[in-house]
Amino acid sequence: MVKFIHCADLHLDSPFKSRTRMPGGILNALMDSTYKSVERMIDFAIENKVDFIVIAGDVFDRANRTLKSEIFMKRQFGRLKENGIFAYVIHGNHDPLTDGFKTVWPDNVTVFKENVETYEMISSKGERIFLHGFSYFLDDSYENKLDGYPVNTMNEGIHIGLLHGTYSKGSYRQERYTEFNLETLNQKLYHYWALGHIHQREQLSDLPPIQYSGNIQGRHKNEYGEKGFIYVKGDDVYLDTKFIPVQDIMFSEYTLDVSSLNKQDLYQSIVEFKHRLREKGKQIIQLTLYHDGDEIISEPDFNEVIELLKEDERDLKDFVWIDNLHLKYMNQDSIALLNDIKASYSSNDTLFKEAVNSMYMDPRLNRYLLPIQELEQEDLLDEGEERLKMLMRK
Amino acid sequence: MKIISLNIYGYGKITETELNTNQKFVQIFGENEAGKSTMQSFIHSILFGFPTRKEQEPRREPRMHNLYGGKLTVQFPDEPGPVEIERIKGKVQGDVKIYLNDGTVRSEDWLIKKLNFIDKKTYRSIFSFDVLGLQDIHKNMTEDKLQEYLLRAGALGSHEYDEMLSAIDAELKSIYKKNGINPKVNQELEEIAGVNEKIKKLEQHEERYKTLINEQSKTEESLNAKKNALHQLETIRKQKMKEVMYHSDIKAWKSLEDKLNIEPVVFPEQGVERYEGLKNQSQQIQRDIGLRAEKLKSLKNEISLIDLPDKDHLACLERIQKREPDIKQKKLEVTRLNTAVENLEDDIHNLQKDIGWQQEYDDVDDSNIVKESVQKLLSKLDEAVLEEQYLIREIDHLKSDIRQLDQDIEHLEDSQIGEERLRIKKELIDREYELKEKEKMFKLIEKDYEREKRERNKVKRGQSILIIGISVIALLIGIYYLFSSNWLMGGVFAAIGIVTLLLLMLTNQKEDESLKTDYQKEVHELEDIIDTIKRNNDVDFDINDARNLKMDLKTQNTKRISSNVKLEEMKEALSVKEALNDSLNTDLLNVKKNLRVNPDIENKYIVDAIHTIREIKQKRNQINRHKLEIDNIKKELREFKTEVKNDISSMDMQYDDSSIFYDVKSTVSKMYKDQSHYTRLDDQIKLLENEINVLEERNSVSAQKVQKLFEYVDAEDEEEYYYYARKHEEYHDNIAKFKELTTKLDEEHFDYDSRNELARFLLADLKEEEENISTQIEEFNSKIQHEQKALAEINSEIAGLESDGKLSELNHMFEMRKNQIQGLSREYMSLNYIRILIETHIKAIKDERLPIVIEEARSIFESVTRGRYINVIYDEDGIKVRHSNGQLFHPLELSQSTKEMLYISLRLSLIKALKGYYQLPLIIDDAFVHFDRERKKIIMDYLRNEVTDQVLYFTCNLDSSIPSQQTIKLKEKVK
Repeated sequence: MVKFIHCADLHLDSPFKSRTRMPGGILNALMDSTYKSVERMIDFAIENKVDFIVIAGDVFDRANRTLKSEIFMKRQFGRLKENGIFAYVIHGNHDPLTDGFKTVWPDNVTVFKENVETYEMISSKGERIFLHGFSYFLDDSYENKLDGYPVNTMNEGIHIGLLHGTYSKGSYRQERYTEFNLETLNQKLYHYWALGHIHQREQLSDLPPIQYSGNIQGRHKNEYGEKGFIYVKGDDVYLDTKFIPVQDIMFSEYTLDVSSLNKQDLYQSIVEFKHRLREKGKQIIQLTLYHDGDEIISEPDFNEVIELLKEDERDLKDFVWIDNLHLKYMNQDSIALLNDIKASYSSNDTLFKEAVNSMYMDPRLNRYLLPIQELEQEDLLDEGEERLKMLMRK
Repeated sequence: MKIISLNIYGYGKITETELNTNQKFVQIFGENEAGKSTMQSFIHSILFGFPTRKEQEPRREPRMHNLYGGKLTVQFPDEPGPVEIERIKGKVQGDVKIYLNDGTVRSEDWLIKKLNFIDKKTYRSIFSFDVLGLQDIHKNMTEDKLQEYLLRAGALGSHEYDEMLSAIDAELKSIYKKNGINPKVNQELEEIAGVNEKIKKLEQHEERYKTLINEQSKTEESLNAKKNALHQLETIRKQKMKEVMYHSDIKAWKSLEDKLNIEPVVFPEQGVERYEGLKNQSQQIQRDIGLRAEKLKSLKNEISLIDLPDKDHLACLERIQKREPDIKQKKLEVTRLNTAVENLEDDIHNLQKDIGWQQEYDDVDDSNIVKESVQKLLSKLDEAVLEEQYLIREIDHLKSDIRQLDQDIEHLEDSQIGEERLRIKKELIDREYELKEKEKMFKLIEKDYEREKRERNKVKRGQSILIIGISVIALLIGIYYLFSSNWLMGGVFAAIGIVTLLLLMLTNQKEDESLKTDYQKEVHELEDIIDTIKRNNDVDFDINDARNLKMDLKTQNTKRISSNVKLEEMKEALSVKEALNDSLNTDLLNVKKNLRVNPDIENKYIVDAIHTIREIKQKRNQINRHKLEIDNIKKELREFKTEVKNDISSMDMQYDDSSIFYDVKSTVSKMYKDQSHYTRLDDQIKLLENEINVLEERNSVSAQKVQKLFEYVDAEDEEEYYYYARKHEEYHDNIAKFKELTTKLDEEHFDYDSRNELARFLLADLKEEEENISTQIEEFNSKIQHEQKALAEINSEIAGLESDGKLSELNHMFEMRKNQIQGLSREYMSLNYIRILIETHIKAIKDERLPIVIEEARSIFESVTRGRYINVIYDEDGIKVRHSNGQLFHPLELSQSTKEMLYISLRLSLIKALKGYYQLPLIIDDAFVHFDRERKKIIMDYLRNEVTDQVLYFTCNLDSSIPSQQTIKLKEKVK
């Protein structure tokens, strides 16, 4: 029986996307979280005596590819070596081969080059395992190299394909590198396809297992829920897969009904809510409050509550950090006179561009902004209305 | 929309009121406090919700009961039938139900949509007129306000645009200014630039990592090479040091090798030891021989001094010695016999004392005949004494018996009873028996008599009842007759009754009981007699007892007589016995005299005295025998003495009776001692002579051996022999040393050639070489240290870079700030977008709608002023009106009523302009109090004829020109 771990998109030391200023403790926890989750995975590998681990790309993050992360990875590979565990690594768009290593990996680590290669290993039980894959040379690949993967004609041993790419039928936000479809993969007659690049865990096929393990630690509100790796066990007939969560900090979205908007009551009910969440470990949450009464809360009071809530989490180990607190009034449709305006002018692109250009035309500022095409006119309008409502409630 | 009717369930002080307002124009008249304002508020509330806390208005919940709200029936222009709007107490703004004409029910949403999203405030400011609003037209009806109302048309919500715009502007300014410093985004930009700079620096710093790694490997290589060289030098130096250390050994080895290059030296095995042993041995033997010869001489002297004793003398003395115990025994025997004789004499003397003898009497007869006669006498005496004692006792007994009998007789005589008394007693007993018999008889007779009497009484009772019955009846009849005045018959019957009663009384007299009394009398008589007898005589005793006492007295008298006879007989027997006793005692006294014993001795000891006499005689015989024996022994002793005296006279010895045996004994022992000493010495002499012979033999043997040793090495004398011995020893020492050195050097890996070669060197040369090498090593060492230091520095720098997470941290900070900027920018852009939209909208309205409204206002104003004012103009300073003479006036310059007219005109034109959006009833609350009759008529006409919407005119001054069907009078003050 062969045992191995399939993981991908470690994005070591990847910066987090949060709109709030966080206290030092939480910031440190965030910065350590990718490391911690990888450490947990390695602990698991050692404890369960797996034969090898497979990393399907994006070990490092383009935005923060530092020596620290490489040294960390070197040490973790060192731990694997001490326990006789091998590692097979392909590089993805975030850490292409050209970005170069400053360090040298231990000899139990095998890195695939830019052309499709096959490595063979013998497991502790004596099975032969063939691993096929390639790394990204630059931050994107010019050609689809799927044809380079050899077809399994030997009918001997276990064949595992490593691929950093995008499923053609998926609707992911990530850049669509190396698009593939299941038919192509199935034609290779492999026993397992370890996929990377897509951060949301997904099983594309059951037999043979073709899966995205997802990333190992969420980095912003859209990467919510449990994150981890896939633990594969079995032989050339059947491979059993099991998801093992190892995330250090979990991102989640919650809603909460509040009956009173009195400053103290509101604060109290949110504190109680957080208290219930706390046992699940460190969390960064998006919280939407629903109020079904005719009370209102002024902006200063609301901001005060937010500040209090932040202050509460300052020195906690298992913090529940509210990244975004949003209050919705069920009964007050308030500034609906904007509806008229919206109806008359929202289709007017010139007005939208005029609003947006004020910032994008500032050379000091625009380099930090998202690409202008990512802005959605409607979203912006909704946010503005929301913000305006808040302002008018002073 | 037209309000057809109001149905107030309870609102303020109005309860359960219904008003029909199904007219285009309705005048609602009521005096002060009649509820006009409440009613207006009611209409607002039903349409748009009860007043909430935010509004300045009271909620007007009824105080007296719980019904709050009411119902409006309205007619929408686009609905086929009237619609009922009912709002009652529920949530804050009340619960609404809409009942359509076709029976369907709708919710509040439907109503809001139907009213085109207008809210209460907007409705009031457009469709309600009151006197206060009319006064400040220049304030309330500015161009902005007008626009505001126009803008609100078709929208819902209550905020005013300028309010929104100013809020947005403030917010935008706080977020971002293009060239600002303080706004949030600008600050963030400042900071992110700082972070970026730091990142750039650190990245450069990390680039150094690669060069450091290269340096590290280079240094490590050179270091390793140097370490190898150093190691080699160290081994050479060690070799040199070894050579220096063993140089002296090598030299010694070489010289030994030269020395040993000769023929080997021979010498007998253990030669010296053997020679010296033999020499010592022969010396020892010589000494032993000398010593023994000396001793032999002394022994020979000693033996010559001793002489041997004569054998006959010795035998004679031994014989005397043998007789010693016998003589001693005899002497002891003599002494013993003498003592025995003395003891016996003492015994005899004592025995004589016992029996009272003053001297010994040999002739006393002590035979058994005497002894037996004495015994017989004694027994007879004992018998006589016993009988005597018995008789005396018997006599005493009889005497006491006789005394007892005398006493008894005397007593019995006292207790005897007289004959007379016995007789009377007998008579009394007879009488008592008779009495008993008679009583028994009397009881039997009495029983029979009682039974008879009972029978008779029964019969008698029956008779008397009958008679009483008859007499009562007769009496009653008699009384009856007497009452009925029949005196005759009455008297007869009464007499019969009385007679019968008398008869009864007579027959009931007592009968005699004579028989019974006779018997009783007889019994009593008897009893009396018995009593008299008892009284006169003492008869209180038993007759049988008296008889027994008499018999006893007789027997006791006979007994006394027989006892007295017996006593006499006994006394006689006693005197006979006393005589016999005396004769026996005399016989015994005679016997004592014969035995010559003390006559006072008691009779019973006589036999013992005889035995003692016998014993004395026996002891005297024994003494005689002992004396004879003593004489014999003494004779024998005398014989022995003479014999010994003769024997020892020849031997030069004196005879002494007491010490003879001791002398003999000492002489004998001296003789024996001399004899044995002589024999011993003789033996020793013989042994010594033998030993001397053996020693001499051995001495010759060792001398031969020494000679042999000398011959082996061809030595003349002892000196030469020792020379050869020394030579041999030296040779062998050298060989051993050479071997030792060879092995030592072999073990240190010095082979034969190197040894020979090194032997040629001098020690100083070798030392110099070693020193050279040492300096070289030191040089290498310092170089290595230097390089190691450099390597350590590189390593620490690498470690520093590796452990330094600053760059990663800064990257995080950078991203974080970037996110902040993005967030803030988004906020800014969204608000900015809204702002632009609002501004665009306002501009559009200004351009499109306002001129129409003003034109309408102008036309209305001209119409209601009857052409006195011809234009209404909005310019920078606000609203102006043009008089028909061409002059422009500011509203403040107009008269109060004209100003109000202008206001009304503008409002009406606004309502007209908004007709497309809203068609709602106008509510006018006594707005025209400042108007004179004519103006009021004009405006009323206008309202009634020109305005298409329903008008509800609330007033406290009834306008009589309005038809009564269009007028509702709130007559009573509502409680």
